[in-house]
Amino acid sequence: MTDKLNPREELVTLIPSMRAFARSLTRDHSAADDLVQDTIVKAWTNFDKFKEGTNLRAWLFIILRNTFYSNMRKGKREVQDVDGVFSGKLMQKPSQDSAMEFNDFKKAFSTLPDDQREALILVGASGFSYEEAARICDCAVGTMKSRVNRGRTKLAQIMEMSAEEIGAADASTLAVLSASTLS
Amino acid sequence: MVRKDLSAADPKREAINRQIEENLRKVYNETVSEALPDRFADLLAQLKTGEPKGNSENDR
Repeated sequence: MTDKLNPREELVTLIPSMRAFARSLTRDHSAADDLVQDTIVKAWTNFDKFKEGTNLRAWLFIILRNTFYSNMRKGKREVQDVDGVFSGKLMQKPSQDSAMEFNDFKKAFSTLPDDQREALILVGASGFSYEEAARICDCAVGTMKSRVNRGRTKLAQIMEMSAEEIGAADASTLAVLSASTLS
Repeated sequence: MVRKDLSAADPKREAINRQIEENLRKVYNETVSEALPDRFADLLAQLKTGEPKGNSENDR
């Protein structure tokens, strides 16, 4: 281990992951960056409350999350995926099937309730343990686990459904075709 | 109606779970790997040279 970064220096390195978390909450690019900016200012002026040696990223995520929910209660900037962060409206024609699937995934993800989205991003993507994620969201570990499970199940259902829809569409086309040849 | 077996033992479900994990990481990393907008460099510079936007009254 070399020199440890002081929290203010470390904060700078954590801005990208704060933006990613903020985007999963707000589903809007500019609202996410506003939220990160508010979080940085709050953290900067409250560093005396940060316990050194504890997880700075978790501390920042707590501030970010609290700011998001308190803004929401104040009715500030409630946006429904206006710039299509997750529904992929910004993407032009996807070049491959995988890009298409990924856009479908983002669309499905954006339909999940707030608590499931944040649980999946914290545990599934940012690498927090269930315990840490529960601390960030101020809930029981069991609650966090069930949010993650419900979110995964819902996504799996949507993904299976869209696969089936394609199958079903083909089947009905076939049915129509074979029916017309019969008559 | 056919009941869907959503247990993890189902290999199809396992594949879907794996895809979900991959996609979640992709969603996250897409943002993480973006270049930071200038507003953050400006903000940090402002914070480093003193307190911006008036006095920083703690909110709690």
